[in-house]
Amino acid sequence: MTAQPPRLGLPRWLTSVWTQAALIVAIGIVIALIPVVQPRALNLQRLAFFVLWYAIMATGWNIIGGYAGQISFGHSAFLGMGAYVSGVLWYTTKIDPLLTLPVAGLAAAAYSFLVGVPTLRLRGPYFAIATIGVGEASRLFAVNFDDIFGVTLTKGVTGLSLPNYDAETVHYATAAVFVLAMLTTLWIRRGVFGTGLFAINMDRDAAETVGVPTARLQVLALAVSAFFCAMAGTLYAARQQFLDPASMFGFDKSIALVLIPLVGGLGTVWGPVFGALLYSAGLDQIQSASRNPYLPSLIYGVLLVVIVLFEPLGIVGLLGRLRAPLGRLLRPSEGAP
Amino acid sequence: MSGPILVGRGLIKRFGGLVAVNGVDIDVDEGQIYGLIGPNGAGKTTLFRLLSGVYAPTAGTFELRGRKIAGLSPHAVCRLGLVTTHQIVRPFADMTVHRNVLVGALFGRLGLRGAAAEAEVDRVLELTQLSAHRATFARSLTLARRKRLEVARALATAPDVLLLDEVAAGLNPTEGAQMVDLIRKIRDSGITIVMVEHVMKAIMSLSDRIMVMDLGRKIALGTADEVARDPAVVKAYLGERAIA
Repeated sequence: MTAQPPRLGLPRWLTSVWTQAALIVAIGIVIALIPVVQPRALNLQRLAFFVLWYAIMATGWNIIGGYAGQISFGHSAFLGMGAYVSGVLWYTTKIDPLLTLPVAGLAAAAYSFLVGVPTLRLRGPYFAIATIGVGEASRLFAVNFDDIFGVTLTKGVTGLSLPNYDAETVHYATAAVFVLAMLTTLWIRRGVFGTGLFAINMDRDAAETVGVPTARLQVLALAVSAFFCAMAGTLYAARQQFLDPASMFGFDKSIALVLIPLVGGLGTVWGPVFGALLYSAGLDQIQSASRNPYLPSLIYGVLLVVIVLFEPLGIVGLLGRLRAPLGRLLRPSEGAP
Repeated sequence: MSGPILVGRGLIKRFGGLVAVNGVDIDVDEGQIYGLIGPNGAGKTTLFRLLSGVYAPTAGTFELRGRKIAGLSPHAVCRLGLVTTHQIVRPFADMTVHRNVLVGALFGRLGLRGAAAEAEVDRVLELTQLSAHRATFARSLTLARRKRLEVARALATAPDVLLLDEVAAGLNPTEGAQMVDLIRKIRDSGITIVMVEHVMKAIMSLSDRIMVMDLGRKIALGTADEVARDPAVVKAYLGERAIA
């Protein structure tokens, strides 16, 4: 399903894991400095948060969808799971939501195990359809588990209003989670795990016959994927302080998580980041400039069609074609682990 | 070196009403090339898929070096040292030749890592004469090279037993001869080979023993000369009147 990027005869240090990892950390630091350098630019901070937020989730999605080739249309289930685990804990026990980041991540990973073991046996469109069911079922759970025995849970469709929380702290945490997600995806992409996932992507049966434990690797990939989407959910809860099932478990979020990596570059390390930048910041700018609520979606739709038709590796593929220095740096190499 | 490495007893595989493999016993000695022939639909490929774990047998047992492997999944069978190639080649199309073989080295019986895995890939590519194409994407290889890649990827898993399903089919005489050479080299390196083949020249010249199947049953077993003279074999291939 995913084409591997062609090799470009680049110096090894440029595409080496260490250069890329250093780049990720540097980007993380620069973004983290935004509130320090520009304390009044609240709009810029909001924009940075949402770009990172989508980038984290899309990077997570890309591990199962882009690397292993199992396209999920139900990842909002993990986003919502994370948001509500942290949100409800915060609401009922006053535990700082950022402290529950790993709890939310692990809860969603456990949930992904539950839904992944049966559904990951399915392939292609059948898996995709099953995940739509998972996403919708999760939303309905959130709607209906408004409280149990008088203990507040999701509060259903009315939504869960949470206490105030310092946006700047969330900003730093978001930058940190972004760096963690990127380092993880880079490490997987270049390692044995990623090689196994790409083999599954290309031919699951052939991979199985040469010793790749396909079922185990896919379940693990989905769990890592869910872990990051759930942490994004926690960050959202802390930043926006309001959760409702329609937006957290929304099908539109699931779709966005398919489109972002697809436009950015399916199965590449940097594709989800470019996709998120375009989806969140780009469309946001068009929206505020045009005042037409439908224009961003229209532009995005046209772009999607063009990319699917002409450049299966999305923005990363386009950059590679330009052979610009930037493109070379960002291109994931077809290297050995 | 000799003695049975692969022992199957009473292997049966049913697909609904069809009995594709019907009570077959198989004994493969270590270091042998064991040929499997028979008319279309005889059950050769089904027997292969039972051995490699793609199908679970309806009945019967199957042991590799005395270890029961019937019913295990293919990756587990591979890690115990039995690997199969596919009749219709199935390379990882968008990976380079090098990476295709690397998958075998990383996930095979030895689970090699780093430099050891790379060294094994180099060795296997050399053996299969694919070194010059290591950076080529598998999808743009010729059929003959794809067939060799299929063998190379399997070899990289460090098998004790290699199942070859029609690796000479569709090759021209030169390519076929290269493949025969390669199979002989693999056997000489100590790997036991079980092969299904329709190219008679290849299988007759290579095999130490040949099993002939028809309609899911074993109808003959012996050296190439013995089975070629066996009336049951002649009948299965050519029909009743050919004997008379």
